[in-house]
Amino acid sequence: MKKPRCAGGKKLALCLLALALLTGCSRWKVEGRTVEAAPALELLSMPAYEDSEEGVPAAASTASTGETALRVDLWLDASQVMGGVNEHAESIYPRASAKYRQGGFHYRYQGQVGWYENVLQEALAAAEGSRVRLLRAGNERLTDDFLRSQGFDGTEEQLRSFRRDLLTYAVDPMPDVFSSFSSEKMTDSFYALGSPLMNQMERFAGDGGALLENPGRVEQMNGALQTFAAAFHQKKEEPPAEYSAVEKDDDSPLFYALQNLDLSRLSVITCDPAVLRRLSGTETDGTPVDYLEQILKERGVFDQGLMAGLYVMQLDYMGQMTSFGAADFAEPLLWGRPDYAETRATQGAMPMPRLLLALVVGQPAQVRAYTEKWNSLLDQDEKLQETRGPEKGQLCYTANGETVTQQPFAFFYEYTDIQRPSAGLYTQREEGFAVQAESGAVSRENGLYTVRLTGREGSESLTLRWPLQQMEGAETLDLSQLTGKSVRVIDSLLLDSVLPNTPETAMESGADRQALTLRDKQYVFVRQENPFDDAPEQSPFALTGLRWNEERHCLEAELQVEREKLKSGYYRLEVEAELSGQQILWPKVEWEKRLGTEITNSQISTWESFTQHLYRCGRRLKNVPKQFDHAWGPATSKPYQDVTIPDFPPVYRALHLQSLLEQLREGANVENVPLIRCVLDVFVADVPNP
Amino acid sequence: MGNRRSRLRYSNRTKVLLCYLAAFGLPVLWMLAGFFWGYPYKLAGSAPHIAETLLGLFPGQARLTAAASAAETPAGAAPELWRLALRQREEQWLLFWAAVWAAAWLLTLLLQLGWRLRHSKPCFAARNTRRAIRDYRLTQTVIWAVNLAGAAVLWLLGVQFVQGRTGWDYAIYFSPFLLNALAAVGCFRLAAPPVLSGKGAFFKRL
Repeated sequence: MKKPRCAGGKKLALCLLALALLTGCSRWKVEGRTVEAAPALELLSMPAYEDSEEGVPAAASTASTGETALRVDLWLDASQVMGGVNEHAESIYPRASAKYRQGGFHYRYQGQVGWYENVLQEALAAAEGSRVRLLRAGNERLTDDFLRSQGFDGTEEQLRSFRRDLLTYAVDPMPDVFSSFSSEKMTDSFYALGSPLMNQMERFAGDGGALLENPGRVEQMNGALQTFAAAFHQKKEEPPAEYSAVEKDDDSPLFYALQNLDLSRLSVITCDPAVLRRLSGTETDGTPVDYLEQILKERGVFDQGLMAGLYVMQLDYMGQMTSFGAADFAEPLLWGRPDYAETRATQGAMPMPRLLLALVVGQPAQVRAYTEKWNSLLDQDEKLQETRGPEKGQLCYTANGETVTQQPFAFFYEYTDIQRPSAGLYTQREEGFAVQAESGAVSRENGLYTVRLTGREGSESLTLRWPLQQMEGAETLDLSQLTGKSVRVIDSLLLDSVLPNTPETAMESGADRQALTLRDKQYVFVRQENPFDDAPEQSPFALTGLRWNEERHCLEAELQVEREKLKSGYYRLEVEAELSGQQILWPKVEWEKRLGTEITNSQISTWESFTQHLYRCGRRLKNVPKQFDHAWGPATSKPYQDVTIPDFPPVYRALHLQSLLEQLREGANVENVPLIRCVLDVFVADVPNP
Repeated sequence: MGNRRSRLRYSNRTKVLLCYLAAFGLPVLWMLAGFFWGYPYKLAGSAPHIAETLLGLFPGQARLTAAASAAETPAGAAPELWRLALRQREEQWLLFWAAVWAAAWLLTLLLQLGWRLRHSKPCFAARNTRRAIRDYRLTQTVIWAVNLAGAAVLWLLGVQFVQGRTGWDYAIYFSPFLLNALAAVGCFRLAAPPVLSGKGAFFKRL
């Protein structure tokens, strides 16, 4: 049979139909979303960040303890200079009379007592309602060996506790307790070395020492103190050298008080700066050592979140100073004296100004509350509003080769506080913390910022901003010298390999490995902690800037991202910066130079030589030259017995004040505490074309 | 001769049945291979947003809206949501692909069987054969058009939006339509009714 053939017209029609169909299809525009030729990296799952609370400043945890009941220890400087006690058996100066007692800061002339007593009374009043304990910090040293020999054994802390009990003068005293400190006989006064007033155990015997830290051992303590005091009063033999801090450069009543401080209480410590022989020295191997700073660090005063308030008070002083700093005088300095009439009868007191230090150590809240109250009481005390001193220019001294005639002076005080500086801790948890990317998108999930980046060319800038936190202790921080600032990749989930997509290579995604499938390929992402620890130069991230933004009132950290080093996946970054003592800019204390002074070994030598000369000539001549009635008299070019009369030691200034403040600050200073600990994620959301 | 029924042998029927099974089974096998091997290992993760595209064409369809929403992958969503959305997208796409192909396959089979039934009467053999050939050409054209239309729908609504297409995309998605049409051709030429077919004839007898 002949095959029927399709006509040419039909063929053409079919072709035209097909062409029309295809043309129509191409003309028919359907709107649709393009499917990317890349794996969906959003399927990657970066493990949630486990936030730890490390690095929270210690002060924050202790701040709440400021509400606890207040217990106050009042450590009173019982050094001989403080009490104007001349221990030398022979002296050209009188010691006492029926009318007056040369008690240094604690002098008494008939009804007039030194302002010091008022200051102490106000210190007691400021602590009213609290358990107050008076402790005597003199030049006697109850050594560990002595305590053990008396049957007081235990750990260092227990020995400190026994020592505090032994040094306790009174518990919950009345304000007139201080009037008993001075005595007509200097060697019996509160300030005498080995004073009988050291032993106050009779006060506590009645209730078996219930008010002491170690009750029930009053008898034992009484015996120990009697034994100890006897060592100072035996005529044949000097007391053991370790029992006394006299003429020991690295010791002072202030140091003794700090060494035995009960850190759970608020402590008020008075200190005559003239007793601070040296604040710095050297070890036998030449290592410099700052005594005060060392004690503060050893006791961990600031480590426990405590704060120190430092007072410098101008008080009136009338007495004899056998030492000034490291200078020991064969003939004591006479600073302030009674006003003698023509008949040599005394007709008034002419005290001279001297500066006293007081430290208030305790929990910041307690220190602030206490000092506020004390300041208020000092400002209201009528006695402290008077002026004192020679009114007619009777007393003078030599300073810088010129005669200074003392004018009446008033009480005043200056105050500053020192606490461990804290600039806060800047973390990703801070309210107001924000991340800004130059071109990438930023989102926040589960408290962690994620910056989404694409592309591999050029660089990207990320800015982290925190609202400024309140700064404590320090005035500001010098961020230009900040050490330990870095950005670290602490965790990552990055593209490791591309495998063929076959049944054999199919893998389950786990915590350490996740696979994304696209067409015939498997993109394998591997999780690694600290991936750039071995080769930090390969990290795409760098911390390029850290600054205070004054306009926005915030702390800013600038990160630079080198896109060409980026791999697809997640980077978990930790931005960190350490704060060290070098960055701390302390508040300026304008009065430290005005009120403080330092002395040199050359001055010490000159003064010691001159007082030795004075002592020798005074004994020989049997009378005191008129000019030495007070403070070596006015300036004169005439030598005394062929020896030039030097300037009078600056006893009217606070010796070592600047060093003391510096060491307090150094003791409080921080050593590498975290300033920034901030974690964020960077998500590189594309896979570059091969 | 006009009223006599042609004598059919069972072996011939079996051969015809086997021919149909082989011809129309091949595209089914190809589709199954595409589902279980081709897509998972050659096209995984490249499914187009078919529900969203269909919703654009037929707005307001509740089921399409729900399907598009289920397959949506919003920026910043958690990986688990992304995983669910992608799975939905793939399932929707594979279902759509299978549905379009199945429709084409069914139409092809029905058209072919319709032609067969129309030309199974043994009267006026010569004239009937000429008509059968003419109908065969027309039906075959329609079958090609149906499969071409199915492939075009697949292209227009889905495959054209897939970036980075390879030969696997074309082979896996469009070959079943080609096989549908070829299956029809095979059945036309090899499994024609006995009254039309014969040795040396246009329609071969198996």
